[in-house]
Amino acid sequence: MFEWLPISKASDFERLVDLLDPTEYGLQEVVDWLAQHANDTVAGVLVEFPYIDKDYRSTYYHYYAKKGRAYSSLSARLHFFPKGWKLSVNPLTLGQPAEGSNPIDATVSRDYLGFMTLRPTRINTIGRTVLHPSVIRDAGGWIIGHRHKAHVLGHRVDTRGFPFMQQHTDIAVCAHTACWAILRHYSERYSLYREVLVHDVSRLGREFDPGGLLPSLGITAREVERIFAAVGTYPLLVMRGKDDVSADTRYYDELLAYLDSGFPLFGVQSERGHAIAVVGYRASDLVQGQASEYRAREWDYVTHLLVVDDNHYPYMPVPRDKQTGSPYAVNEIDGFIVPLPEKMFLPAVAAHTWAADFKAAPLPEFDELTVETDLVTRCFVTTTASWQRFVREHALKLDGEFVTAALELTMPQFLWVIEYATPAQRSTQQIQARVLLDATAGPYDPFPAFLVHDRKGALWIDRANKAPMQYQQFDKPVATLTKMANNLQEF
Amino acid sequence: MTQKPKLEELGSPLKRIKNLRELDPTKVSELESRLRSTYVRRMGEQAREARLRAEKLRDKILY
Repeated sequence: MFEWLPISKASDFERLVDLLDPTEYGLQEVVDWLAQHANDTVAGVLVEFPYIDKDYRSTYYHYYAKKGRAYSSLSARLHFFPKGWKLSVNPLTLGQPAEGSNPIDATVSRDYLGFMTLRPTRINTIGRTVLHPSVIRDAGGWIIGHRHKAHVLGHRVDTRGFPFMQQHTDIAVCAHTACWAILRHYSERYSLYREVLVHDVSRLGREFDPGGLLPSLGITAREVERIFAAVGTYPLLVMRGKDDVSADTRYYDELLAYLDSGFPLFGVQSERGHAIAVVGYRASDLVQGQASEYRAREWDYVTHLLVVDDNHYPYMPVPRDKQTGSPYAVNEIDGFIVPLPEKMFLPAVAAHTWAADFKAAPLPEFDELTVETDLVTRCFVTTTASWQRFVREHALKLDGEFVTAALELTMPQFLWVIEYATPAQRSTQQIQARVLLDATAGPYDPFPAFLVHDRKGALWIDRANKAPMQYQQFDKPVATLTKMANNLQEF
Repeated sequence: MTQKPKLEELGSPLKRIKNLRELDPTKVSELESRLRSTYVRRMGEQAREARLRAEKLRDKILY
């Protein structure tokens, strides 16, 4: 059955209690959550019941069905739409008056704002949810996301977002939920990774079946690594150091480099014993923080991390330092686990360290790296395919022979990209120079680069053919070099 | 008629660039030597520290 709930003000969500069992689906908590976090982009909710949610069913079969208290196996699902959409009956169709009553899938997808499943567990009932960031109050920034499919009234639709759910508290806690969100993003985004349901997550961390009370007692970071490894990723655990004055700098450089590469991070707050998924960031044109050593890095301009926190809401901005109204600050996230793909042998800390050392005394062909004293360094991973797409899209602005060589040079699947930009260039999405590092190189290779280029020329290193370093001076300097920004999307 | 070489015999695609010059090997050697004494040395030190820190975090219980 489907019912349409028009929304013109936050209190309209309260009408959900007329459509579903308020106790089973914990509707007061859901209504409060929607009223607090959904903005006025939402003008209508299509309520679907019954809905069979695979994630809830995985916990129902292994946990809720064994309980003395009766739990339903059926979930409900809410689909969110902006202004202009409505439900018609006889025949049952979704429509938009301006475009007719039986739109094609692409028209529905264009406006579809996402879905939220409600599971009949009485408390923490918000299950598998993917909401477009435009739905959430105060969610702007650069966000990792992917298009997640849903089937609605015969339409195959999708919305861009990052998975979210509240923790069950018993069969799954915050760490399981953060793992689930990251792994669901991976299975939707990359065909390489299989889909993992909530109950699978609670099992994968242990060598024996952790039934009974065990999931509710939490899991260790070591077990989180095991969960990520079990589905074919290669988790790297990084903890903030106190070894020397620059340890903090290195930690945040690493964190941002992986995040800017499109890898969601399993963030650890070790003092609280809490875990979250870090899925984006918000940056400014102004330097944040006080320490002068920070000003040469992209991290210096980051104002917030955007996190998916099962105790709060998706894309929640977390400020650098504790502020009123914010449950915690970035400086409380003192470790993270990044699930990396296999062919990533060079860590972010190597890319940043190399970038700083090369900039300090580059080859004479790139002497502007020392002349420009306030260059900001940004490091991130891309694929050779993405790099070649970027070159093709900007081919008319680049040297012709450079474009040809960039498209033909043999490189591995993953590359570290280093971009140097003055603060003025950075604010207009331009850069001074760029380096491509071999992400399959070891950290003991002193010059793991394939390419260093600026507006005047390019240094080529054909590592696959063991060729010596060769410099190409462009016939005429390129007018501007554009920043690469293809891993995260700005909302 | 001359036969075209096979793709596998073409070697580096950089051959298509007309205006290409090899860097002075002495300068390259100096640069690599400097990076060995800064970047490579630091990577070794940092790897040890990072391993110890990661081990401390591994047993933290998250709930």
